[in-house]
Amino acid sequence: MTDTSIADSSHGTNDQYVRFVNVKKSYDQRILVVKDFNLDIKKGEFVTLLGPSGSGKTTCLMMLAGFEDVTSGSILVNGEPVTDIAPYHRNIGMVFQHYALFPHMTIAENLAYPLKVRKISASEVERRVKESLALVELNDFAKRYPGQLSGGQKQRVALARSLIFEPSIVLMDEPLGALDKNLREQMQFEIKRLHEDLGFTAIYVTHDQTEALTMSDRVAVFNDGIVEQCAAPEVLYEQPANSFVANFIGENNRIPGTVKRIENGLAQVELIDGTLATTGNKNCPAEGAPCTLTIRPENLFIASKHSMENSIQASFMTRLYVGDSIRYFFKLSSGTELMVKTLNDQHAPVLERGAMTQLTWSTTGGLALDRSE
Amino acid sequence: MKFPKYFSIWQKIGMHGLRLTAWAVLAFLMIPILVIIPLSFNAEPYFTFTEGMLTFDPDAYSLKWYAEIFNDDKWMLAIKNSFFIGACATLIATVLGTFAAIGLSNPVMPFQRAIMAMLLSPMIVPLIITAAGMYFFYTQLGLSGSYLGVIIAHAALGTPFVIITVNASLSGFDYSLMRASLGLGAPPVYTFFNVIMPLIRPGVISGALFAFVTSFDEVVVILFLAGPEQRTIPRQMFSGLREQINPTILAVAVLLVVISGLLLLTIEYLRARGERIRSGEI
Repeated sequence: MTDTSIADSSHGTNDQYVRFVNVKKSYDQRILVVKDFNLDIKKGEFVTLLGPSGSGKTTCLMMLAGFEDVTSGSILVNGEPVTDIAPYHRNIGMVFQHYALFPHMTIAENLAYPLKVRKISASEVERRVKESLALVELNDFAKRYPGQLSGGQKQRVALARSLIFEPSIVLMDEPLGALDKNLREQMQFEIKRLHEDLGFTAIYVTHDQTEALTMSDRVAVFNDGIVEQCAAPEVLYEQPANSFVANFIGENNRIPGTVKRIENGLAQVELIDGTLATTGNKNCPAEGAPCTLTIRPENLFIASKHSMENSIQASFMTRLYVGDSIRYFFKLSSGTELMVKTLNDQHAPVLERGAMTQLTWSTTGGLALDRSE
Repeated sequence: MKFPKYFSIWQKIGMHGLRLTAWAVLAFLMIPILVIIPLSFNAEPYFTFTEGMLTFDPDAYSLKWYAEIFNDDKWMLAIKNSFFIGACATLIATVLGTFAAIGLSNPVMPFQRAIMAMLLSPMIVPLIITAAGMYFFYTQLGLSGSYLGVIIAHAALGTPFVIITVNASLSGFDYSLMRASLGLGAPPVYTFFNVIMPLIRPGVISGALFAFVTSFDEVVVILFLAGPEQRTIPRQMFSGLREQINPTILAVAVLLVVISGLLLLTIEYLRARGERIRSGEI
């Protein structure tokens, strides 16, 4: 290695603490599960790999942990390639979906395990186990066995065990997947709190988009072995790079159309029923090509007195009473279904089934994207 | 027996018949084993119940056949041999069988079924064929008539039992525990002894007990391979049946029944414990 490359690798290690460079992975030497994965992760960042099951997100995590080898490309931690280091020498914490607590050891023994492996003195082990139990508020559980704990408690122990040897990177593979909804939200807070208090770099895998949006600094959206978009949660939601991301993150209305004109970052789209609409342009194809107009349900309104820049005629089908909000379902003449989400206040309209209604949205409320499928 | 009201007379007869058959089968299996117990305390050198035994006359019973075992050098040698050969063969079979089962349970392992079938073959192939094969092969190597030969042969017979029990205990094994251990910084050997071994231990121990019992009452291979120096208890009983007709052989048999019974209880206890550990109760 030359001097310049050393300078290069040490330079900017805080911004490129973990690097995936052109990583490819194939299990059978024929089909690539991960196709050219590139990602730079900052030190202390909370990055989530989000995607449908089988999209390659867990494989990326396992390659970083060292449980799967890399078919080609390289993974660097702090400027050093780790692909040839044994998993037990990588010093990376890991939390598994099904906890992976050792059932024959007590909670204290589970927590002490990584410390004993590292030949840390007994008194120090005892002190750190105590501290760690306090950290996850399980002080009285030291002598219990994992089988005697509830799912949430087990996951807290697993979390504590992955942190007790002070790794700089912690990987979490759908850690909350086995928990029920309330517990999951509680654990999300817990993980966020620990991340903020301890400042480790977290890489989190999930297929739950709410979890990804609420917890992460950045989210990488996986689809079929590639990253569709990697950005902060608000960017993913408000400025999706393509129609896959637009559909995968949150709910979205999609109206097929054709590109009429593109200028100044705006796209004029002729919708399937002939209506013209102007919205922001993201990755629209060339003029004349098919595209998709996407409108978030909360950006689409039922027109009353004044309508916005765009509007379309639709017939009311049914409504879903959610509680804090009401969802109205409409159908276009072309058969496309649309959903409007309205706050449940005095302004929530009452509609007859089959009534023709104007739906309206602003230029910034919609986004013209490519047409997938 | 209480039957539901809707049962017809024929269903009732059928149910009674089923019960009767089950008891008859049980009796057929147990009586030959149980009957030797009182006979081994016979004061007379006969294999039948004497008048006195049937009337529970204390003088008709004695422990002299048990004393006989311990006064007879042949029996003492046979007992020593049985335990020595059994222990050595068990050790080898347990180590080999455990490793084989772990290797075979790894999804990366190619030809799993073929290798498994080959390793289990000593259990399936008629013993006389295995024994004859071993006889010719071991004689070539100069192993027949030696302790080493008998131990290796018994280890080969016991290994399949260990493979089966360890394999069963691995079937419920959560492999993410292995990854968790490696990820926490434990090298593979440390992981084996601290995570895998404690969890499959019930399987290993019950496999070892099966291997020991196999060696302990094996007589065919012994007949082929063992010299007079390596006579084991079953071999000694076998010749005892023809040469020295007295109830010593029954006393030995009772001791064997007791030992086997204890081993069986241990296996059952371990199996139940293994299930408790897996379900997380402990």
